[in-house]
Amino acid sequence: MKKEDLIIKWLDNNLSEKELKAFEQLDASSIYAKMDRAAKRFKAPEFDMDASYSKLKALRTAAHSASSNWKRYISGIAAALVISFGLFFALQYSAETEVIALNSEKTDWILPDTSEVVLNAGSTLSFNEKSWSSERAVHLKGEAFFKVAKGSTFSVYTNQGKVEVLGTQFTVNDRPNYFEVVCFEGLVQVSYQGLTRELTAGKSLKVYDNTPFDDITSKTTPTWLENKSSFTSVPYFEVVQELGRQYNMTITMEDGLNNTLFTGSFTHSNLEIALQAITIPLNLSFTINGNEVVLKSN
Amino acid sequence: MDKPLFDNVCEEQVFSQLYKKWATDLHNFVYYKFGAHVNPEDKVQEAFIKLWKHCKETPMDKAKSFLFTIINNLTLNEIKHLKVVHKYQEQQPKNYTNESPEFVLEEQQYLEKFQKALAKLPEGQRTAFLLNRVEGKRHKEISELLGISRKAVEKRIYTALEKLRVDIEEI
Repeated sequence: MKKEDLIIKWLDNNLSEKELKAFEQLDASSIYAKMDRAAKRFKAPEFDMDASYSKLKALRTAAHSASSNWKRYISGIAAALVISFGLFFALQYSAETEVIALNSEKTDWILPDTSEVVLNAGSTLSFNEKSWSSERAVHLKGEAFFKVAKGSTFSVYTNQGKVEVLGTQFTVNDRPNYFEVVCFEGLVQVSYQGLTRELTAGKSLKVYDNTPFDDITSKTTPTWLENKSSFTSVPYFEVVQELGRQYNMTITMEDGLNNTLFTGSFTHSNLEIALQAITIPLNLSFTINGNEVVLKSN
Repeated sequence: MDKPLFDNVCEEQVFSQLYKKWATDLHNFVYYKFGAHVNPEDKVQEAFIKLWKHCKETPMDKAKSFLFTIINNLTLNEIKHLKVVHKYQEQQPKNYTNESPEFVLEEQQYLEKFQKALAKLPEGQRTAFLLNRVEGKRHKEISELLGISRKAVEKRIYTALEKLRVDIEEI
């Protein structure tokens, strides 16, 4: 075997025993062995595979997210949409218009569709001007008279019930523990805690103590528009509350009178006459003390 | 014909397997060819990141040559031919205790000579030689790693050995 082939075989660690002997016989074999030992000292530094791989993983995710720019785009667009929607709704809510009638005053208001509202003392009406064209809806706390222009459904939302009409004249009175709808013209649909009632002109619905009562009226407009409150079989507490609202007074009386039904009326222009009008029929007496009135049975 | 299970290397499992299989070889390849100062570990990372970015178009059986070509090009782009001086490891395994000071000095001088001679080798020969002598790789393995024929590997290693021998004697 040639010397070169022998060395090459030795380099490949592929020598047979006989060949190894022949290799050792070579002049330079000890030199080669020495070189081999020396070469081993030039080993590459240790490569920490696991540490390096976890480092690579981090780099890889960074490289990956950088290459998927479109994802950032999409999320940017999504964020912009969310913000603009948010602004849109926020602005819509801020477009809410509120009409307030304080105690002892009445307020007229023309709605965007020329429907008329008159608020009785101590009442609040709110509606959204922006969404008015798609939905005619108002929220009411207290009592109001509506003269609704013809058109789509007109809804009055109150804490106790919902009133829907197309075009008519009616009053809604939503007071604590008392709810009343009076229809003066056209047709009104009242929803009250699952109960639905249709009122034609001259019909009214009263609810107190969670019990509905049907009634009729011969009037064409509520009397309070003419500075006079009229009641037909109305619980006495509501009558007293109404007088308090009209004159901005706090009225106290015995609890026993609360649910006594009262029929009659009082004027909005003179407190003494008004008090006499509601006390004499029930044989009560009253004392006025600044802003307070106390009712007592004789 | 066998159809490979994965037609690309985008699967985490496949990718990590490739890493475990080739990272050390790539690292050593770069170290022996270009030396420590090119930071072989960083080059390994860069090569694998390139592979990850192109994982969709790289079939598994092409991944190895992809990696070696990329790492070679990456390093070449960074440096143009330069003299590579490898550091020999200072610590010597102490298997014999009766070293005379002369012997230690002689050994030291020999290593320095070897180092210089190694630096004079062309990079192809040096890489093949060190992979063979230090890493103990067979000629066949080296020919696969470097993408050259087995005969060429034999030639390179033998030539390197002879050159080193002559150079060390001369110095």
